[in-house]
Amino acid sequence: MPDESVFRILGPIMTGPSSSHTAGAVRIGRTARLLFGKEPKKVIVYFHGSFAETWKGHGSDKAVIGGLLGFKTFDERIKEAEKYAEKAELHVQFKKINLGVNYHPNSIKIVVEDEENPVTLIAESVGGGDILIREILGYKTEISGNSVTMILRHKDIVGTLSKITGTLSQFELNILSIRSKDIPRKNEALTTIEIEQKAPEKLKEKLMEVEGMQLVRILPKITEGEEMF
Amino acid sequence: MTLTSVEPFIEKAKAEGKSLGQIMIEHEAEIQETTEDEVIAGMKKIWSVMTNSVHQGLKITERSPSGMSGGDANKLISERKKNSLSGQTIVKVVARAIGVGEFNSSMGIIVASPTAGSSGVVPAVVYTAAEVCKASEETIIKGLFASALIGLVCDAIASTSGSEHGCQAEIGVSAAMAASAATEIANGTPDQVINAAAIALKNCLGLACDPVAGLVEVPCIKRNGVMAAEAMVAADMALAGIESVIPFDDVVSAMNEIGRMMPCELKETSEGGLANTKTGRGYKIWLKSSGSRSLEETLE
Repeated sequence: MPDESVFRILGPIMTGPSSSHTAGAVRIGRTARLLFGKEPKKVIVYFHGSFAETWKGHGSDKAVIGGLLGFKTFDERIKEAEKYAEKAELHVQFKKINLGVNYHPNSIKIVVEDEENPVTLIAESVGGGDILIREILGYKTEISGNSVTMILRHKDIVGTLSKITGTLSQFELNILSIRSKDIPRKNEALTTIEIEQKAPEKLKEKLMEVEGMQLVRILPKITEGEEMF
Repeated sequence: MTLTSVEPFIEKAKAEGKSLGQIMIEHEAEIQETTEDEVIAGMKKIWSVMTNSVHQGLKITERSPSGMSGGDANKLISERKKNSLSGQTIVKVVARAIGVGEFNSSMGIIVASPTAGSSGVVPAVVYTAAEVCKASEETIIKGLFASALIGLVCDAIASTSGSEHGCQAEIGVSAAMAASAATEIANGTPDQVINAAAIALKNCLGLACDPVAGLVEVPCIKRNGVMAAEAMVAADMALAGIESVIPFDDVVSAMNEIGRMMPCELKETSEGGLANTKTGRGYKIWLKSSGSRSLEETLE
């Protein structure tokens, strides 16, 4: 294992009071925004487990709103996130939920409403501001955001995966992990791919050209913009 | 060199006649494949956020939304700066650490060091040690780099998470880090820097993580204050030449063993200790009721 950086122990620079309940919540909100792909306007946030118990005291509500507005973990505006949400015409509703014992005690479900492309996700805040996306649009996932990640929803056609990986190799991108889940009844699948490099500009366009492709989202590293130098 | 022991770092510092902070600057530049100037610039950014949190914390006079904290740093510095029993330096370092804790609770911007709940100790101790020693920014930065070595070794051998190893892993590690930074800033030898960390950590072993109502306020904020004082004292002891009989690496192993033995009720679950007292449970019920019941009613 490579040696850890000093900035893992002296860092992150973040909005208090809790790395798991505040910084992690910001990142989960921001992931929902990135998956949605445009400015969210109507969102329902469900707090599970420890979040349901302590979200007020930890400012987890402000943190998720900040994330939905695209703020980073150290943005001073998070403290007054509601004010900025009003300006952005973002309406967020908070509810408690019990997702069951299979979910981490620090889990959040987010539903971004939209007529064309609504987004639902369930994510865990696993400590120190790190998160894990467990479910997207009803598909099980395992995305940490530690690498650039592609989320692809496509028709379940034979050979689609090889077309996708073919496109990636055209751009000389190194795949770190690939995971594909299908829903047979719907004849659809969700493929998530982690890559080592940054995503080139034209990648999204090229992936959309793959037959049966319905949705392409490319998530940057979760810590993008939070680098120390 | 791997970060599972402080020994190779001490040896290297001694062999090359450098401070531990300087060795860590070189190490960081090497693993990040960049220059020393770049990693120093990164640490300056960390220090500027820490300095701001120290200043802001002392100004807080309002209570937090839970009503459990807020305004104590300001109270301490205003009421006890003169004629205090423990001395001006201790009053200042404690007030500064409590202030950062209060600033953290009010959603201020802080540096997790190593966590948000223990974010007051390192800034307060480094700020105060630098004030006493009239240290330059360059020296302060070296102190912070030395403190990171302590934190990283604790993280590699044990953990820096209260939910894994209790509060010893959060406030204990922050006190050890702070004591090492203060010793480096006071121009201590590499051995003294590590002894300060060992002395500070030993006195936190077995500490429970039992936050009232699951919030990072009680006992966390005042504990930041008292542990900042402990770190200053540990640094003085080490600078006097007092050695820890149990070497630092062994103290961290002990912390790991104790952490494993601790029941989960004492690891951030708020099911034991102070959180499970009559008053602790009362606050939890009161906060959950969102104002529909009075605090007095729930405490009865």
